[in-house]
Amino acid sequence: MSESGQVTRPDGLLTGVRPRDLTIIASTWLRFAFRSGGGVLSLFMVMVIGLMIVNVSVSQMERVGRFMAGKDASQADVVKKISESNVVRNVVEIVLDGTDDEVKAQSNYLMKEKPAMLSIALLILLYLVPFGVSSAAFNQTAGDIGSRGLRFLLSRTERPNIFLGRFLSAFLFIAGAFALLLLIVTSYLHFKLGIYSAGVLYGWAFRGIIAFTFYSMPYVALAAWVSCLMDKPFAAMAMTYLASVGSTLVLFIIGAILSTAGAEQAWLSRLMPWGWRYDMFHNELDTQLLAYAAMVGFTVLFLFLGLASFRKRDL
Amino acid sequence: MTQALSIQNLSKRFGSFAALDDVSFDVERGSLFGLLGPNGAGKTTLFSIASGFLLATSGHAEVLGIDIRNVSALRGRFSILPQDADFQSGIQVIDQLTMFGRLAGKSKEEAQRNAMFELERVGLEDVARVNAQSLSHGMAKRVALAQAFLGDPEVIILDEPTAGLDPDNARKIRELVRSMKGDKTVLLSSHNLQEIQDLCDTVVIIDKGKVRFDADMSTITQSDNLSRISLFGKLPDSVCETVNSLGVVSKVETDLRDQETHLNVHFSFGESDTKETAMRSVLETLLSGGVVPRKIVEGASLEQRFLEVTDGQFDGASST
Repeated sequence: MSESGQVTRPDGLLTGVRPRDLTIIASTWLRFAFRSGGGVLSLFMVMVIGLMIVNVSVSQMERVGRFMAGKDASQADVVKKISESNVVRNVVEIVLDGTDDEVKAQSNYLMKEKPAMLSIALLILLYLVPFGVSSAAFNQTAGDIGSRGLRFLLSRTERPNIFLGRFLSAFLFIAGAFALLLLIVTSYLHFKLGIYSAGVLYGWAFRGIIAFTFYSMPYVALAAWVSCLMDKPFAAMAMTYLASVGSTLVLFIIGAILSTAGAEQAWLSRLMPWGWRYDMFHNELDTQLLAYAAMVGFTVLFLFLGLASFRKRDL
Repeated sequence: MTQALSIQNLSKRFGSFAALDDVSFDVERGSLFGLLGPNGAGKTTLFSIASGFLLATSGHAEVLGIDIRNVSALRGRFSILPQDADFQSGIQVIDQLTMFGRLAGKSKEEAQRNAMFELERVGLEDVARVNAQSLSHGMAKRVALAQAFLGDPEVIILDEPTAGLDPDNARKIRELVRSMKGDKTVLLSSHNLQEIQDLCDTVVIIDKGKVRFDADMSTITQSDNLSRISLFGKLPDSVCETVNSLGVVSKVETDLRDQETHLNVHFSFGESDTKETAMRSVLETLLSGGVVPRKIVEGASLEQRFLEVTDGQFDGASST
């Protein structure tokens, strides 16, 4: 019992965690994600929207590149024109949003040292992550709290196993979905453009998959936290969008206000994983590692908050 | 020997509402225990705390001598059929039961065997490969019963196992509980008096979050010194006084409900008296006073106790 008299659960947040139980719950839920239809639908949405965005972007850039390179130019010349184009580079630098020298070095790294078209696709697809994760991971526990389905598990395993097992299955599912999307996009670019060597292109895609895996992780954890506070899937979905996408918008608006007032605002975006996303594709290793560490840090923070809530709430 | 369930000074508040107020009782191992109370009495809240779903505001709950908050220590020894809990949709019944068995510490093969065995016991082996969501309410209850008995736990809580079932399905569930119990401790909650009286050997009556009555069923229903006589209409005071003045009668209680008088006659036998002669005296007195008995029941019933301790506010009895 606590000093206030309220009965509490004993020991630490991770008391009772068993790898075997985690594996059982995560694997069952992973299968459930595919069988129930909801997971497949989310996967399908991520694929379709992602491929549409990439297709539209690449087609438009190809059109611009062909206009600059001339009607009879080879595909290699078209892509070369795109990666050397000041307009495209300016757009990339605006997107990266940093100090001049740093941004120029990073855009140079992305557009010249790495396959430019895939770099552009990766930067665009990063926008999809908070939306995609919110759509696929909002119902980790909320629905089963409402339907009391969790009660069949609660007499058999400790709460952290349920919370972390569900998180793991959602994370693996989403990481797999993004990996599949990037592989399809990379293959599309490989066969459509035919100018990058497979090794270079798929090597860069592999880096992209790692970055997307790490970037989706804190958003899955955020969804896990929000989901365990709710007992209705629709409420969980709305609140997950609000927490992941809405909070970023709020920080953006506050940043704009501070910027207008002449105050320092760059740190604001760093309060969410969103603000660290491009650093995973930075030309300097230190910056990359810091970004990955930030993703892990956000994940740990959101999981900590979620576990604390899930352990003490009535189920 | 430790108790199967020990509830000590348990209270639970939801805001300003006290769902449970300083509840204490013990359940002996091997018993079939009934928790009886009207709707909203606190039965599900009590079992939910005893199962670790809810945290108590104060007090203590132990299963087999182990604090219920320490679920790991009870792995495989304790299970529950929760009220109104849905199985996962999209997962076959056998896969769900197998997962429960594995979480209770069994290997996959053993958990699968156990799951099939329990499904056969409740007569639902044919639905093993069916999505749990497509089961009827009655079948889902039987599957839930199967999951509660999965892996041979020592203590099983059944929270309103027949709620919402038609009479035939309710009867099936009661028969299954009886046949599956063995030497396990089964704790069953219900607002169905007949169900508790038929199944259980000990009972706690709870109302408005408080324990009102706690006894063996035999001490309630077996009493040579008590007869309950139902009469048409109101019993005239003069007849009541005459019955009360009989030498073999120590006390008479009357209760007029629904145009019917329920007369509890407490006997006090002398050396030469028998229950038969005593009853004859009472009945002759009633008939000579123009009162016709409608029904005579020997001993007390659970319903009578229930009405006594819940101030007659019983609205949940059903014949299911």
